[in-house]
Amino acid sequence: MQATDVSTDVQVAEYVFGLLSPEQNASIERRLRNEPELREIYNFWLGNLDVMNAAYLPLANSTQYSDISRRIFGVEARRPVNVWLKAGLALAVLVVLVVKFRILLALLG
Amino acid sequence: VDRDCGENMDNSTQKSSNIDEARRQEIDLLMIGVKKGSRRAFLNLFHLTSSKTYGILFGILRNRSEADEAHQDVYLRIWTKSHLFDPDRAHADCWISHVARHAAIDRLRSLGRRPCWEEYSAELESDAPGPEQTAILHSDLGVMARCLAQLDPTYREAVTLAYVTGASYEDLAAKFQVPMNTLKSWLRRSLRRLRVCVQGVGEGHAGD
Repeated sequence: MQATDVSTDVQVAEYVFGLLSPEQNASIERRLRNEPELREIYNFWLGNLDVMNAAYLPLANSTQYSDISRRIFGVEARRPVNVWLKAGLALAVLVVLVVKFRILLALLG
Repeated sequence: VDRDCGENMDNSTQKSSNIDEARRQEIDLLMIGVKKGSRRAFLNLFHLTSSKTYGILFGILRNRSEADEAHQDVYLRIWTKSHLFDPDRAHADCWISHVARHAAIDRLRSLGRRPCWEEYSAELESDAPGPEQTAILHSDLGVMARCLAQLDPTYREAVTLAYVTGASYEDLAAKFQVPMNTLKSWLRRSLRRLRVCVQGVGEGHAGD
């Protein structure tokens, strides 16, 4: 491995560890999009360092997917559908009640 | 590039590892769906990985409410940075763990907090590996564990603490009571040794 390759290799490892600054992280992520060789180095460390994740135990949590979905996708696309659905159901119930009331009035009259 | 961070298992772990491998492949497929923009795949991915990502956040932040807040960030990052995941070269769960670690580390630093060392202080005071290191070193998850075991104990602790606690160079230098350049030198030397060792498939190249 060339000297520059060694320093790149170490810097990518530092990126995977989380030892770089936010600016350095952003720089590495920009380069990862366009440099296949860098992606190769990144995936080497990513795959091999995964063994260290054995130190973290899975934990139950109360995070709701709906909150994440709302934050990422928003609710604008769904809200009109829900509003119209609810309005339609309310109208249908109202029509049924009016019809029943009229039938009742007719029977009593 | 070693895509497999799940090989080299012995017979006693074969059954659970098969389950793990099936789960890992399911996560791989879901992540490919996420890369293509599938919201259903994203939903299923969340349900399959939520407890693991939360465990990583809590492991670094050591605070439930902060882990709760960071948890949404993890999935936001998974959705928006899915182009950085390469399904031909890495397993999705490795990449997702990486995203979760970085979300935790970013939050730790934005809060100006130091890592919680208490959990690991026993390890630092002893040459014997502590619970976290034992979990890593006794793992059957590849050659990295064996290469870590070949590092000088002080270097191994520095590497393990850097990864597991999300500590910065500054944090580690303060913890080990050495100048930051010395600490950087330790870690960078260790990383170079780990690279050589892993490439030599654990043939004893890591030690001095």
